Amino acid sequence: MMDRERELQLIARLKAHDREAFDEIYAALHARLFSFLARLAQRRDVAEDLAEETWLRLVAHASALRDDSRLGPWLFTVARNLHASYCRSRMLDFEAAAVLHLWPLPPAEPSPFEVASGTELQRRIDAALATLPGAYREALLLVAVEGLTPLEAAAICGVKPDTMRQRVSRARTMLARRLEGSAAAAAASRLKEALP
Amino acid sequence: MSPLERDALDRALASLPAIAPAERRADAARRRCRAVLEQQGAGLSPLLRARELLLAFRLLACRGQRALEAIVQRARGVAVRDEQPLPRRL
Repeated sequence: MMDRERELQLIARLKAHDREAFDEIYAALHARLFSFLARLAQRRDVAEDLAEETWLRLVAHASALRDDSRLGPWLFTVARNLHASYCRSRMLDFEAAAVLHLWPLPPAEPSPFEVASGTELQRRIDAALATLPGAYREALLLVAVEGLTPLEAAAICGVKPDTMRQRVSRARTMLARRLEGSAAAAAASRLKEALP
Repeated sequence: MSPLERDALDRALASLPAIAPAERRADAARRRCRAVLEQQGAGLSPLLRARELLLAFRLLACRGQRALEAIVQRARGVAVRDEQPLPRRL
């Protein structure tokens, strides 16, 4: 995370096409942006494409940035909108696939590193997050995972702050239910394995 | 959901590890962005180049050989604005 003063300096330098400023912004925010997109899209390759496009939008519009912009919310807004556009285009593909009785490709499996590095609870949370409807998933990702305020998340998603608060609240409840369900299933599976 | 449960869930969500991007791909994306910034810094964004070429072609119509040289220079990315100021009206 960068402090506000540093962020304002970097924006001014970015507007002057300073590549080192871009590198600093990229280093500070790329992992967060990529994680957000990966959890939203549930596909690493899609997240990589969308993240790159998001950064290209930033440099393409650098000179038009407001001096007091907030880079994190700006990037998340673009990323979220790009993902929404991607989903709309994919929806056409899904419809075409349904007509042809094809099933869309499953999401990519996590890498061995991701499997090894996450705790059991984190893996269960990630799996449960993936089952939430898109609007609730993005609300929870922005507010609870990325630490943005409901006001910032509302602006990113283009909804009223109250709507965002409701979404976050409902998303928490849905996630908790799914986690309870997955915990019960895991316990049952362990019991089944233990029994002769 | 009780406030206690909600806090526990929020803490768990906030501590989710970042998903590491593929280093090679991330580096390639960063380099592409840097190249765009470099082009912009040199006043050579694709849009600007297209606009300048259009202006230069209009110049050709009214100024002949001198404008032709300007086109060649502009196409090579050489800034000629200072030496040969564009007329206000073409």
